Amino acid sequence: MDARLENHRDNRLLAALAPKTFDLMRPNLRSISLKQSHELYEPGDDIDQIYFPQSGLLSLLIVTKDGRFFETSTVGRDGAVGLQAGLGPRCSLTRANVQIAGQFSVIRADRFATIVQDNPALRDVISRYIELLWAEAQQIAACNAGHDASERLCRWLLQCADRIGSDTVALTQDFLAQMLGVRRTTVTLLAKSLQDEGVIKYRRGRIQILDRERLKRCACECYQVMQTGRLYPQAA
Amino acid sequence: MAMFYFDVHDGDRVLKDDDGTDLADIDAARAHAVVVVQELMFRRDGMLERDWSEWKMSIHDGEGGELLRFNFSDVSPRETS
Repeated sequence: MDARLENHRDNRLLAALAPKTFDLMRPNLRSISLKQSHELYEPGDDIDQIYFPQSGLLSLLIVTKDGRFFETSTVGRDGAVGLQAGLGPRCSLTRANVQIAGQFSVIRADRFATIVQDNPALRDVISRYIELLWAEAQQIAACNAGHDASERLCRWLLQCADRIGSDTVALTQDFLAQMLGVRRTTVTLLAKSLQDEGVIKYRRGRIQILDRERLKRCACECYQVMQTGRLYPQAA
Repeated sequence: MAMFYFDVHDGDRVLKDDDGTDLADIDAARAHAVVVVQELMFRRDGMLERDWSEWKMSIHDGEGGELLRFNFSDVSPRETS
């Protein structure tokens, strides 16, 4: 098996595709590396490409008029951004950008839509993935409204780690504060507390999970809900 | 503008704010501190099974001098800015 093929299959959505479907996709897939903060789309932009993370993390954000932004979803190697463009031309409703640098498989939206057109199983993968994002967005809305900053920080670190497949998460406290909608001082103090308890270790721009079980106990139930709610696609 | 540091402690444990925040004056620092305490306490069942009610907020300048101190229990969640 050649190395390029292996890389695309690091993305679990692509890995879950039936060989026949993947063979249709493969000539159109490119493997690219993207840096942190690279912007994929702004709200209203045409979705011109679909991004399947092999590593790294993408995020979907709502940007408010005063320039702040809030997490609606994060997408790692178990997902994709822009998948809805497989159903026909689509505009992005959110900002999508690279939160953690990594390697990504990309396909042009028009080519992807052509493949999807004749492939009901692939269409089903897309619609179930959209359902999943919808369910997650609802969960996150409830989480932001009802859970405290500490629980949400823990939930967020666990999800990040799962989605990039590493217990070391390269994120600044500034960024975490923005995502959680709290002051950076609050994140600093919470991270300090978790570090004192031996749950995490952090230095500038990098947080390492030392005790995953305790971190789970400190997180709100949303982590477990979103874990079990994963709708992995059947082979298409 | 000046750097302010927001440490919290409960007599036993201290969580030190190593990073600090650049703010206009002590009034801005106090407002910031109140919001931080509200964010920490929001659900009031604390983190790591801990109750925050015994904690204090202590605002320092860059030289370590304490400028202001107040109890978490004096902050009302409704006081949100």
